[in-house]
Amino acid sequence: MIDQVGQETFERLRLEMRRGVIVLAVLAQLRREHYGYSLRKALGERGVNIDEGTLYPLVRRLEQQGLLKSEWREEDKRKKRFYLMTASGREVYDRLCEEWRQLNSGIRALLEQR
Amino acid sequence: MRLVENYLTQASQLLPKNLREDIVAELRASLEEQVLDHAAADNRLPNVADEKAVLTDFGHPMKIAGSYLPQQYLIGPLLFPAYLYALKIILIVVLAINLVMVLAVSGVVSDWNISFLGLFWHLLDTAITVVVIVTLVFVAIEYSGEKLNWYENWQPDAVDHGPSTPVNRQDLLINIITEGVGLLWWNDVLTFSNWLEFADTSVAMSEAWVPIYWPLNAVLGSFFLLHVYLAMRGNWRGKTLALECFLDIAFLGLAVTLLTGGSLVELGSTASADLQASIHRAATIVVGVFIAVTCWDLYKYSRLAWRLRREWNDD
Repeated sequence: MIDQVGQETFERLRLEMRRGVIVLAVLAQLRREHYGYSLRKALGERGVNIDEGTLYPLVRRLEQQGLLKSEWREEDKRKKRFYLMTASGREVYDRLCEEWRQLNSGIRALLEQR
Repeated sequence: MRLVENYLTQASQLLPKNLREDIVAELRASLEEQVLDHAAADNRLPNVADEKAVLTDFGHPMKIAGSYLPQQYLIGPLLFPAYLYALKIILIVVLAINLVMVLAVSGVVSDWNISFLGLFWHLLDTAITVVVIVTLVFVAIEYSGEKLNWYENWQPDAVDHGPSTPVNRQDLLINIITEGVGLLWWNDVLTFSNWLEFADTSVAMSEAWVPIYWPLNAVLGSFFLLHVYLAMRGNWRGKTLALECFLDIAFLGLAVTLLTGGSLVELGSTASADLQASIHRAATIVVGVFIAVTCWDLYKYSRLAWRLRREWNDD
């Protein structure tokens, strides 16, 4: 049974591990257009739950880096900011995917090693 | 949605001005939709409870606002260990030098009577000044980008200080205390006059001590600073051993000068000849003991220096 300290350590490590791949998950979803809340819901439906305090600033940073573009539009009588991946975002995304596959296969091999 | 609006007002105050309107608008759209979703799950119109539930999930307004700001710090994690190390070293060295200087000056300037409390406040004042200055310097380094040059230009030669050997901390502590008390006494901050009264006869140091006032301050002060530094470093190296031996020789020189300079103490006129002879002998023996201890130290440290030199050559 994991004690309190072990649980806290696990939570911290889990967050660190997830932090690295959240960008990839967000970019993957933004191959098609989303606004903040719909993006969060879409990620959540696929088991990637990200709180607003992390997600919204992240998409803004990605936009500043030129990987996403955004526009304000009205939908269901509400103004919403829609995000979509740019061409250079697509390039970076493809390269990150390749990195992820390599890392994933390496980690898988390590985990299955006896 | 009153709670949502209040929440956004509070968060907006912490956001950068140029982004405030945009971020608040985006948060508002998201919060309002979530409140509606929360109510719709129970098939009813939204109320305050829905707002509370959504805002609880969002977290403290300061936390949300903070997540939009770049990570800010005065001294970052890359530089912080160097800052702490430098602060420790500079603080101890400056305080030790300050202590020695204050004691030396208080011994010379007759109308400057320094008390223990006065000394404490003076050192506290100095320590705060040092902390502020060192912190400002490191903040400047942090924001100048100079730290990157430090790390990028680093070469393994930088850690090649030659062989070293650990210090004996017990010995050092005894030395530091002895030298500290010695400095306090030599500069009249500590007085032991009550202990030096025999049979109604006053005992005072003779004129023979006057010429060595400043040299002894310099040697004792240097010993004190060196031993404080060694206590922090934890290792003897070639240069510190050489300095220790040099100071031992200087101390021996002063002691010999003192012994050849005539009577060490002056007694009142009422003292008998026997008492005078006994006191003179006792004073000479005390100085002799110091000479013997210093000779032993000189022998011990020169052997250690020799050993390190051989290790250096063997490398």
